[in-house]
Amino acid sequence: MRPRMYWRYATRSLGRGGQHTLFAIFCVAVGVMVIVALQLVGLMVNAALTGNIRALNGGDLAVHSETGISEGQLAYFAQLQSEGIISAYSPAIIDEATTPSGGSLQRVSFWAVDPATFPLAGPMPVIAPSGGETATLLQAHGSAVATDTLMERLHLHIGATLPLTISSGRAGKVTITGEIATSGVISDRADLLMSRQTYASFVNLTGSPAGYGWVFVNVPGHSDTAAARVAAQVHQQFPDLDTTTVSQAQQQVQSEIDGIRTFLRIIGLLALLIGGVGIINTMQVLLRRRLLEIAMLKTQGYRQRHLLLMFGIEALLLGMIGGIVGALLGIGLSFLVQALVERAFYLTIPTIIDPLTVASGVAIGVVTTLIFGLLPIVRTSAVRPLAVLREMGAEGARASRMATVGLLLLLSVLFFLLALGILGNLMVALAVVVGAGLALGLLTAFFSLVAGIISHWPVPSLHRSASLLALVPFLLIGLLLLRLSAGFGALLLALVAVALLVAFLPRAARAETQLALRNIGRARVRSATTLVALFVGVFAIGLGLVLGQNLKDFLASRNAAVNQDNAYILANSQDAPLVAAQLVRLPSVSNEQVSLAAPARLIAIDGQHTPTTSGPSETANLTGINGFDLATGSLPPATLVRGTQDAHAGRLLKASDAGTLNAVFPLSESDAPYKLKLGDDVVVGSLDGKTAQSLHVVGFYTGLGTFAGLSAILADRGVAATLSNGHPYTIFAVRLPLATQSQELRTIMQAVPGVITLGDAATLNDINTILNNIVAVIEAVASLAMFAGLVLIANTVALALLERRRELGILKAIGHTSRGILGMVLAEQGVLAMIGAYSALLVVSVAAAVLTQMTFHSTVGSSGSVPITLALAAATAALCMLVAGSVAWRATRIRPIEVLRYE
Amino acid sequence: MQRDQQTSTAEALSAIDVGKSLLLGREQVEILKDVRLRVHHGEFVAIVGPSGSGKSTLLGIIAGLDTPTSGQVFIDGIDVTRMREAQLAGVRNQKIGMVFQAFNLIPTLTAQENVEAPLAIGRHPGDATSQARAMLTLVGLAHRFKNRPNQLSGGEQQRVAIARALVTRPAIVIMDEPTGNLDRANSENVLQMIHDVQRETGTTFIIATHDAAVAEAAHRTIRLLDGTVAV
Repeated sequence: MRPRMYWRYATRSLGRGGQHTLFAIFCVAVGVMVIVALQLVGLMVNAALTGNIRALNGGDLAVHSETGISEGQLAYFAQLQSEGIISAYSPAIIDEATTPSGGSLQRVSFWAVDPATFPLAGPMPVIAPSGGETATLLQAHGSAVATDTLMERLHLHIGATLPLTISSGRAGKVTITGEIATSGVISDRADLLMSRQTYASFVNLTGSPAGYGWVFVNVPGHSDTAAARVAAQVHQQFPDLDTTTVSQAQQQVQSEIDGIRTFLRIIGLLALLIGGVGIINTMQVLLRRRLLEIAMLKTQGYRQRHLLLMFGIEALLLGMIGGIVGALLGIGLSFLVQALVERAFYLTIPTIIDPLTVASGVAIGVVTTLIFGLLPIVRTSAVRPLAVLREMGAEGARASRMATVGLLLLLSVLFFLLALGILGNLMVALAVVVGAGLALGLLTAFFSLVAGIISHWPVPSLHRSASLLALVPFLLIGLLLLRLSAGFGALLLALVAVALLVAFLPRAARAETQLALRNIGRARVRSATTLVALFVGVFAIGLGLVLGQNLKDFLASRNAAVNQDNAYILANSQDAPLVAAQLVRLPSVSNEQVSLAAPARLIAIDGQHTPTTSGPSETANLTGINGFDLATGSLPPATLVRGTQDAHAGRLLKASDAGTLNAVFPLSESDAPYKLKLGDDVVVGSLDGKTAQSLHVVGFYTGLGTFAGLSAILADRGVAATLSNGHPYTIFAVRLPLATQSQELRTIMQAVPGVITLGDAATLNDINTILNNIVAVIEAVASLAMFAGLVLIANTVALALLERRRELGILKAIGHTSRGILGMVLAEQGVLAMIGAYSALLVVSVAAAVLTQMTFHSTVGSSGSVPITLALAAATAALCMLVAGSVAWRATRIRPIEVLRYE
Repeated sequence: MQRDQQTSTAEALSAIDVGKSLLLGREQVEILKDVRLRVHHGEFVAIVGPSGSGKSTLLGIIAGLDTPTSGQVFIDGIDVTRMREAQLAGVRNQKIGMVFQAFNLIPTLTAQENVEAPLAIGRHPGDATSQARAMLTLVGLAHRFKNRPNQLSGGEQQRVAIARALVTRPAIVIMDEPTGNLDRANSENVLQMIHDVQRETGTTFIIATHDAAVAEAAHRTIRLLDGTVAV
């Protein structure tokens, strides 16, 4: 009989709970949804990156060089193959290009491979045409296969032609013959594959050799031991090459994935914590409404353990329903996060719905509800039955402070155990729980103090000058802040203005405002909890937005400050006059600087032949000369640095260096193998070997690189002219507005088809897209925190109004209207929202400024974005008041007689 | 404090020199002072007195909801004065039935289920459902088993509350202003029903009331004035 009675009571009470039951279910569901979604995404990422490690590695061994693997070095692998030490090898040229798309230039990373040997570790997953293979698709001259990510980004189709302007000084077109999945060895590395023949057929203005970035190697038997032996041999032969075996790749990837999955689980756990606080809040409301009936049960002999069981069943049901709802929503959310991650990091990750993860999500929902429901259940079931006789209501459930502290400690321990179960790591779980607990505790204590101060603040009144004078300090602070941080200053002044307006309101409205402020201090812990919830929500959203904005601002400012030029046009000696004529026609060109360039080779240093890594080859000791018209004051815009072999920095070129053989070298040439230092005399020769020049090292530089990976020697233009045998190519460095840059560069390319153009707009577009996607992922998760905070507010308002029913009845009995009382509630929540949002945005601004300073050594964005500050603060206040108003609407329409009949 | 060592087995209730004082602010207020009270089995006793006389406090003490500052209380021969809450809960379940002015029914349970509620705990032989139905029939609500409180009139709700109080066959039924929320007609009906039940079951009724009709209907009236029993 008892189980039936308990079941009936629990299920019907939940039904009677109405919107509060729904709130409680939502609180459980939010936490479960986030944790299930992020766990599923973690599994998806894990599968994508570890599903086939050998395919990801490109073979049994992957050899990589940032500075390029030469043909001579490739010959070594051919030798290993002929000796049977390796069974196959496949080199890949890596390069970058820009291509016009949708009115702007887009960045494209690509590899040029040997279709006969690439890939070594299983076929590439070809999406279209069905049944296609890369070997066949890359056979035709000028063909290329694009990843699904690139196809979507550039709106490509099979058969589309893609013009490429390549950063190594090449240009050409490819036709898309196939679509492949962004997975395996090209994940996060290349958007496009073409054959080496196609690459070699491109126009090459600089004469720079092909830069092999990778060599993939298979060993007989695919044994990891054999691969490790080969790796050791390669290292010994070429110390500057990096090697990765399959097992090393596995460890690296697994370590990264474990880190990612732990991070995702921590976010899920924090979402559970937020949901849990909501559960405490909502169950308080649910149970407080039943205090008299609980007391009545006690008069019939029910003891606390009976009640704990009854409410435990109720919590269990809530947890199960919330867990199921949350798990289902989590599956849906995982698809959204999956899409965002794919777009943000250019990955293809498989869709996974793991039944065990989903089921454990439901279980987590139940456990979380039981843990967080414990506090309100124990406190409410401690109601004294005497409360029935005296109709004491909430006063009858006054639990002792010791009991409350004990319950909080128990809750912390149980939550720690839950965290341990989810994270699987004792120290991380301890750090998360203790860290979150400390942070929440400190915030609650701080906001409790703030609530106390607010509750005693005088309401501005025209009849009390002291109340108006109390606003003066805020006015002054606002004016000061306006100069330091426009957003915060403007917001504070707006709040002072609102406060001043209150002074002009009718007396009843001012009285209601005073009540609103007093109410904030009445239940200080509850007000503090609301403030903490708002703070966390606004902080999470604000940090994502402000950091993202700061990063964009930093990149744009750096682009403006460091690169006075943001576009380059490369033309041979015949096309150079045509380009000059085109530039004259463009109205928005500024900062034009013309220099000459010629490829060269380093022959000797201080009379000694330069060290080479292999025998004669087209890439041995290759460099370039960038010659400036120093006589006219056209100096190279480089940044002087100290060479690694020198104790002090040298100097940059001056006008007085015109006609001399003084030169400034790239910083990399002060490293091995050349180890150049100030004062060295370096002999450079033309590529055809017919001409040579001796240059004197006066300094080293960074920050000037016309083409990625080809940092040239800076000298007088005469040097470039000599080494190019009178036919140097010309570099036009200009500044074009970012908005029109792509269009103007295309105009030049159409007018002078033989030129190569490069602009920063494509790179910035790419970075901005990535940043936007990352911020979108962060905001999606952060908005859940905000949503949970709003639920907390709804419950707090409901609980407060429930407890103050009689007080509201009295207010109405003496003449206050429903509208006035609703206004009081809105004022209370509006004040709380403003305090929570303002303090959160202040901390966001400081945190973002510190992070930006630490990472980029820049103060860009530290002044506080005005639009973000005002918009977030206003949106927070509006949302809070909307939520509070919708909950309070009915409660404020109470009829005095209903609550006052016992008076 | 000297305890009265006599057992009171012939009495349903015996209160000996019961006192209750409370600290209100900085002042010690004596709400009850040396209250002596004896109620025999089967008696119908009315406790009357003006507001503030200590009726509710006395009711709370004799119902085992509150502990006196001094004195002893015996319910059906059991000294409940210094019992722990767990023991008191058992006494309330087995020996005491309570009815309140505000009915205090559980809104999510039907009339039958409300009456069954006390039988779900403690030792109560027999089938709870048939006992609940029998009690509801006794109070004239045989046609209301499946109705919830919001489907019942005030008088009907109070009858359900009385049936709930009686279902455990307690030694005493304590009522606090049972007709306080009822109109005259319903009050008379409830009063008549109390009489009928009292006659049929021989249950002891102790009723605190302002209602003169209830006081008149009682076998005996005890007047409480300023915390003491008026002579």
